Amino acid sequence: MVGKKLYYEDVQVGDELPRMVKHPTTRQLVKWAGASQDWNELHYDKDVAQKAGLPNVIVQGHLTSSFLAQLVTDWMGEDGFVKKFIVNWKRFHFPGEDIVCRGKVTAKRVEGNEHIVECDLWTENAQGEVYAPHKAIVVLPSKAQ
Amino acid sequence: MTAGETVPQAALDMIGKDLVPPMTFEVEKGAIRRLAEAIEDLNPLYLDPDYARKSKHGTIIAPLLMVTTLGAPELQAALMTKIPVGPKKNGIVRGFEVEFFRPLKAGDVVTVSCKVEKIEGKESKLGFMVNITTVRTFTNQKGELIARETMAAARW
Repeated sequence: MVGKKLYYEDVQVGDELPRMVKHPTTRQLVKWAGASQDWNELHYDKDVAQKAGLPNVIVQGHLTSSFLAQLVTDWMGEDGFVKKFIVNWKRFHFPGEDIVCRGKVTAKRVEGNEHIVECDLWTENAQGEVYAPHKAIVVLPSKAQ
Repeated sequence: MTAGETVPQAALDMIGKDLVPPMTFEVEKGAIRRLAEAIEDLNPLYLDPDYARKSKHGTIIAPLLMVTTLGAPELQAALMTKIPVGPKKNGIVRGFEVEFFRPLKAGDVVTVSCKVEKIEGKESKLGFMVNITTVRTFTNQKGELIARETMAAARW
């Protein structure tokens, strides 16, 4: 979000982050493999994936987490800072399926000079089943500063 | 699975030691662009040098998790090959936590170090499982800490 500024005072516990839908293709998985230098064949070779008992190649967990990182960095604007990011993967996303990226503010507090907001982030499928629960702890600017 | 199986002493001896020798990566803006495009995250802070120059960062910065991709394949290979836990063919990374201290910037020369923090054995439905915790630190060319990652993996 170009030039966006989000203040601590403008955020309330329970606020939802604007949801974002990704629709990764096998081509995008290969682009990620090249960009990250993670050449695990489970992400682009269907034969290897099927030998491992999977129906298809799987979306890289790190790419899924990067979608959620985009969700929170877009939301917080350029003056926010992600202090901590917690990653968990529970199920595999597959290319060709929607990945719905969502988030919700769960806590806010002031620690010293830092105005801190905690968010639950997660991906879900089109049916609303949660795949990758994450958390972010974000420092936002304050109108008082 | 062997009843009463324990973690081999040779594996426990790795606690506190380097799992992967320190590695250095120069982060150039083309690599940042390729990663941002792979995510389809077209934030001008990652892609537009003029825009980024006028920002508080003064230069192109990287998407949040790019720093943790540096040396990640080497770490995943070492988790499977460098920890002597016996004939355990399966391995998985359960997740990780990252503390961030400053953004990764174009032109940074990043040193990645990786230590074994904890190794514990546990019986599970899949057999005797060895849980491994690693800590990686990412520092820039000025010796400043960019990020610290704690990763939880398992072998069985």
